[in-house]
Amino acid sequence: MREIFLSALMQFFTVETITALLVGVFAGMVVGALPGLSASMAVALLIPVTFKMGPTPGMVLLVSVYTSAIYGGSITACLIHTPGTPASAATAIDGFPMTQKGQGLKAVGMSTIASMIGGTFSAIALLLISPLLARVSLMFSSLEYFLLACFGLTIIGSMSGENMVKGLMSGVVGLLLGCVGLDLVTAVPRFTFGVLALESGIALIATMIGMFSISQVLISVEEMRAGKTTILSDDIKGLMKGSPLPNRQEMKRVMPTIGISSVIGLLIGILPGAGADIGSWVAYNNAKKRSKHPETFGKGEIEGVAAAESANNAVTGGALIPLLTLGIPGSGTTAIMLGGMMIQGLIPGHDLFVRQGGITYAIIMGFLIANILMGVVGLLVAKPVTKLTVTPMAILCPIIIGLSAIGSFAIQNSNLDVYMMVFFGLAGYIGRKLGFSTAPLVLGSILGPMAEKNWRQVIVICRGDLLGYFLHRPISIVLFIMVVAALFTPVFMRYFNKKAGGNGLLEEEE
Amino acid sequence: MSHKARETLFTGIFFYALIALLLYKTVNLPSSAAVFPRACLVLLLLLNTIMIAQDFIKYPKSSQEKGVLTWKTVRTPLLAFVGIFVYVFLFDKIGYFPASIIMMIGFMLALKVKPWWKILLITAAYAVFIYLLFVLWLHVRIL
Repeated sequence: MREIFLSALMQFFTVETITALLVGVFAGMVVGALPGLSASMAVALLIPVTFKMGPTPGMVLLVSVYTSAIYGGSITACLIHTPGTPASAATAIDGFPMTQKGQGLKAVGMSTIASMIGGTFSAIALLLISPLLARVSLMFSSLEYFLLACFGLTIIGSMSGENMVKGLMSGVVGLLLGCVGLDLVTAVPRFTFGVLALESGIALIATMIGMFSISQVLISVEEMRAGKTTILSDDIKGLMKGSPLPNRQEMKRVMPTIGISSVIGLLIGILPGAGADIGSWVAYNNAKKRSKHPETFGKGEIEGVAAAESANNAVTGGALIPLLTLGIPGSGTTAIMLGGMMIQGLIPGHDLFVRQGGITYAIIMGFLIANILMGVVGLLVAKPVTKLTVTPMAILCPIIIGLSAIGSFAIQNSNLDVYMMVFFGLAGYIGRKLGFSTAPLVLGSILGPMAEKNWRQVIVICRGDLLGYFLHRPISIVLFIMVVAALFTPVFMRYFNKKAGGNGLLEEEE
Repeated sequence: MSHKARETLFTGIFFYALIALLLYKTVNLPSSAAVFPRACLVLLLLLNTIMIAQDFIKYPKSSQEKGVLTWKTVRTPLLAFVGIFVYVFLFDKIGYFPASIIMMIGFMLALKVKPWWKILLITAAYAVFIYLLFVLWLHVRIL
């Protein structure tokens, strides 16, 4: 073990690896902050760049880009309500209202600290307990994945904004969007209307860019007509001063949330198929449910930013655990990374930790340091970045439109995706005006296919005895209890709220 | 019928039409492929009906609550949307850079950004940034 560790240190402390780390952190942050550019796209585009590099610097570059791109997405999510990556959609819910209240600097600072802690926590877990945790994920079958998707869908209720029914409708529309494309079992096209390009499904990133960015541009245009020229109104521009660091009381309040959300993110990251986007939603929902003041969520609650950001960065380390130990990618980005590993001659599994231990631990070390470095760089650039919010909207809007178009196009080099982005932009604008939240729609379109695919696999596997199959799977029972608890928690909360004479969110919704 | 309830009714009619169209599209699907979308559509049908009923009760005839989608409020955003659509069409036909330059200058002129050199500077800086990042670094084929 000592030899492996020394070898790892020697592999890591080279000019090439350190340069790859620095470039990866900075580039990931920039890519993540650009609406439409996802971590998976950045990693995919960088794999050819790593061909000419050694395995350690090549993989360190990829893991650094991965984690800092997930963090970078939160900067624009907080400041201009435009999540740079799908993983930051939950961050925008409270980050943007914080900016509107003149706390943009603090929102970015909080997301930086939470991302750093979540990412570092997952890196330590990756380093210490990866074989143990990976073993748990091996015990998951389709039934557990189906229940996990159902658990994720229970979040829609709490994402619904002021009108629960409209929020649920958005979620169901999202589930239907997830149905578009070839059916996975029968290969029959569903809801494609004869368009060949739709057979591979709706482009999620383009949909999301439209829903979040273009709809925001249209809302900004409407506000500009009403006389508002910047994201911040003139009277609160002065509140942008100060430190990006939260004060001691705020830190004390958010630390338990960061801790729990990091654990949630890590566990979700380990489960194949559930990425940083799902991790952030689940953690956000959990933080809201645990909070004594759930009514403040969605209105600029610092805990909401902390929960979403710590979880989505904790997912990155979690997703690397089954990738390195079992060769099972925990997310879309790590699936792409697996290709990069193969090219470098790194075969996941036992040998990777024994024969190629030096390289593997150097990569893990790089991931750990990338998370810390990301926090330091993030805090340093938080203040200049916050100046984005006082840039006139007349300048920001065309830039967002241009970036959204190139971001939608670059994923598949498809013009159809760009048209789709525009269509969903208008749909998002009208929906937001009518009180339909956009977040449940995105969540539904992510979790819908996962739920359907696994449910249909369960039907085949259980051979008509679903109850018997279910009762023989203790993890399923635990997950089922979690789903039921998540469904009925709002009912109980309403009951206790009424009994206590409180006036929480649920009463307001009525 | 109050203005707000009428707005909800129109929204509901749109959803009913959408549900009918999509249900029709499931008719020829194999049963295993149709179950999930049909279940979603039935759920959407129920929720849509609840939404309409809810707003009819909440906003009775005497309610003074105004709708949010008035011509006055959506006129400018719709114009902006048409502009975005034209931009995407130009992107498809003449390429990203010429289309983006036209869109950025046009948008900033329409939104009264001054002075003119600021518009040119921002547009040029944007084009250079996109060229460096997407064309040189990420090798996205947009030229």
